[in-house]
Amino acid sequence: MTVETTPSREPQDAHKPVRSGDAHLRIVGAAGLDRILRPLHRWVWSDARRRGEKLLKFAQTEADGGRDIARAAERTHDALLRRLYLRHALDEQRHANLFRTRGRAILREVGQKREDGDATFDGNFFSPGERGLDDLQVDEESEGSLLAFLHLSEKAAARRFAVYQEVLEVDPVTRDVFVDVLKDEAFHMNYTLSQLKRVEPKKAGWRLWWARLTRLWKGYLRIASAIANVMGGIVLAVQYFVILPIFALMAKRSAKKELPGWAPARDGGERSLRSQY
Amino acid sequence: MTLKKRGRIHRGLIVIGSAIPSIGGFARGLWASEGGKKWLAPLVVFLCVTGLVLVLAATVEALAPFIYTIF
Amino acid sequence: MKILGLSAHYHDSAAALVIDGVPVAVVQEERLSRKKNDAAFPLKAIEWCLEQAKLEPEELDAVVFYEKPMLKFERILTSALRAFPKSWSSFPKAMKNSLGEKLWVKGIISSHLGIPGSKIFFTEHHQAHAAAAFLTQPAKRAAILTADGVGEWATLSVGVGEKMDDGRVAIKLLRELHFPHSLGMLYSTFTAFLGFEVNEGEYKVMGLASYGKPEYVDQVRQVISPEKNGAFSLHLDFFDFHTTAKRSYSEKFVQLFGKPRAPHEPLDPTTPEGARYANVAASVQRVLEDTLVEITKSLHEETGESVLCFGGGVALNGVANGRILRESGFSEMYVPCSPGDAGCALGAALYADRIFFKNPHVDFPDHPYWGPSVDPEELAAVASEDGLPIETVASDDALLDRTVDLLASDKIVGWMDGPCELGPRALGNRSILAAPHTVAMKDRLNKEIKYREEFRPFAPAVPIEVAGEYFELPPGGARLGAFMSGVFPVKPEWRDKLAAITHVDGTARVQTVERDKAPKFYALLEKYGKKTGIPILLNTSFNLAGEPIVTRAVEGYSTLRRCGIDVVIAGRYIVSKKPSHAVMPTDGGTS
Repeated sequence: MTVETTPSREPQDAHKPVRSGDAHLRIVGAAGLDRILRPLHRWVWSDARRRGEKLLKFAQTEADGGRDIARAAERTHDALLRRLYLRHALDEQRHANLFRTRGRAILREVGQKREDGDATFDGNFFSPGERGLDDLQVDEESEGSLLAFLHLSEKAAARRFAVYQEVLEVDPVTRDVFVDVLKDEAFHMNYTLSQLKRVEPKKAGWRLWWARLTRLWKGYLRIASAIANVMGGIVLAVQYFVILPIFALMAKRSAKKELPGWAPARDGGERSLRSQY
Repeated sequence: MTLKKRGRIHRGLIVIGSAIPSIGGFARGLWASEGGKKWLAPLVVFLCVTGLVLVLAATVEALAPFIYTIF
Repeated sequence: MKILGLSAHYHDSAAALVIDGVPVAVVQEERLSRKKNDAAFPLKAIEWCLEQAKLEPEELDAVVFYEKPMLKFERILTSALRAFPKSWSSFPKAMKNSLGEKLWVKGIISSHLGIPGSKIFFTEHHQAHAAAAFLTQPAKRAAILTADGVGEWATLSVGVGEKMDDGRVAIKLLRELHFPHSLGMLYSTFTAFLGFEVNEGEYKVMGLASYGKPEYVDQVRQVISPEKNGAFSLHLDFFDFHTTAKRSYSEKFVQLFGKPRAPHEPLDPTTPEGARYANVAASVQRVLEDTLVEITKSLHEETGESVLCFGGGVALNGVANGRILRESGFSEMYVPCSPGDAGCALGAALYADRIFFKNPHVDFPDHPYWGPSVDPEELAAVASEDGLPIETVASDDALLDRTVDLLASDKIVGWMDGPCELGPRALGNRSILAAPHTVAMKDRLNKEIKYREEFRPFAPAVPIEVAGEYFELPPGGARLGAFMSGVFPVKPEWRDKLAAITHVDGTARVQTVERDKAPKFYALLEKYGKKTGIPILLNTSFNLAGEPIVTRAVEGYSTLRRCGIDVVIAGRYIVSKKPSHAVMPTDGGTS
């Protein structure tokens, strides 16, 4: 048996320590709008059950985000980016575990979820500004546009998390979770920017502006489709109450004629494959 | 081999174009069904026509809220 | 003839290309899009299939969709009408869902592939299941059973299939049960009640059932009652799935079975509450098995056939399959590698080919390996760039020896070989392999790799010829085990030595490996047997929680880097992991 071991090739920058979290916290201070909305954030986070359920949703978002980043690592041909993405994916996996563990602990403390399901208001429109709201199609992005997108997403998330940890004085344990996560978010925010400048030094600024515009456009599309969704729902609900009752009556009458148990199978004749019915 | 990429609007138009004969086939199928479903045909046709508006709204998602104003 | 089969829009979309009666490429969309249970229109899968045959879409003779969208819509609308006015909140959502996209499949196919409507065909959902079950196996005649949540109207159907000497094929579905009376929906309702995700957590219910006693059987029999000839009906007062998409069980159901488990609530079968959930799981499992045994007994008596082909999502329940084989009277039972909706893409294409176009039946090997092949060089390249140790061995034989050494020293191996499997199970081409002997190995896999509940068992892979030495296989059991479709007892004398794959009730979901279908994997098992005395390996799917099974080598590599697997093997390359701090950058690479 021939055994050949490839010598290890470490990037020169691989062993540098992470900069202190405090420095990052200053970098990612809360955005203006979030500062103004701080009382609202404080109210949203004040309820323990809501807090637990929000943390579980964050866990899901982080886990999904981690999978997206792992996908980015699998796609890239840039070795350094692959390593950074893989570390990023592991961070997201860790965050998901932190949020999940804390969320479950809170929900255990306050008792089980109400049986009628998800009736509590969870302030979803204050979701973390990470990829939970940003429909990321990793396979369709170029290296530069993906980095720009990730940078903006991480920045938004870091700012939002900074506000959360500020308003969580009622729950120091959860606050510590955000402080912990925030350190990584700052790292993600910084590496995506520095890598964007390395990968596309001349286009980095343009990429960032394009990513901002894209986020804005996607934001509009989300609002437009939400409005359309509501309008469509109203139209169909009106149809339901105006047009359906008479048909419902006939459907119920025909249901009474159906016998329980076996029914003959439809005739699978030759003609039938052309029919959609 | 890569499938030829068609724009969202182009694809939407193809879907709407093929929907009309499909609705006709659906109504004919219901009318001819042995299970006594004739009474369902008018409702199905009405809802399918409503559905075309939904398809149109999805095709031009940026204008979706305005499309619903036709109601 | 060149026929493309498609399944899409509900769960597990897939594409299958059949040329001159033989499958040439079949793949689930999730394996290419990397989104678990991807239900989107399978563009990537279609592209890959056409690429394998170097075909342009216009060269296809037919595209066959796996169900009839308008018949399905009729069922959805009729159900909403019957539930009026309780269905008021779910009606807009259901209509938007159907009318906004799913109803217009013909146009969607035309718009993506650029082919005329005259080339687009539609089988019924259970016809596709039946074809996937009957036409992919070698028997000339068989009884057919299909069961799932729901297709168009049918939730379960029985019939017979025959491949005649002159090449003609007949599949005759005799009768069916209609929505909402559905074994799949019954099981899914309990899946939701037990706090697991529907269409994903059904395995967990089956695993949990082994920890419980069927103390709630009488209560389960209150929600489902028998009808003539093995049929059954659900008592709809206990269910809500037919009136709303929000919850599948009603208040009355909760009164009968107690408080449902919240998804985030820890589940420990050793606590009183956990034991209650396990008992509920055991009870629904028992009733499901009893019902299927009744149906198959009566089907056996009616048809006189010796072989049963079983398709549909319910056929993934290996415990029930084991009982059917033992008790129904059929001497052989076949469950395809992908009995769920993904397999319907292949079923639809084969049904159109044999039944509609009347092409003669052509036998083809009944293996599951129809997907994209792994490129070992890709693994070597990325590992080399990242500075991970790579061993290159000179021959397949040397690779197997080295792999056996690793496995025997309790290393966990990510194993990638050849084309990937169709269906939810890794069957030796995209598998995580480990020694099957200790509980510690099972715990390590659960905690460091799969990140999943401790009550879920791992499966063993064993050469088919010796499977009977270690497992109590009924006649036909070895055949059923080819795609891990049956759960059978581990022989008591081997349970201690196979602790990682022996479930709490002494059973295992056995994969029996045949030399001609998986030669390299078979040889690995043989060599492992020579070294350790037991030719059995623990075989679990090569993926992390929430991700589809890996397809490409780089995906296996990425999985290695994100969990506790020790090595990944593809081709003649063995890549092992170094301590993470040595390879993971700790800053942004700014210098």
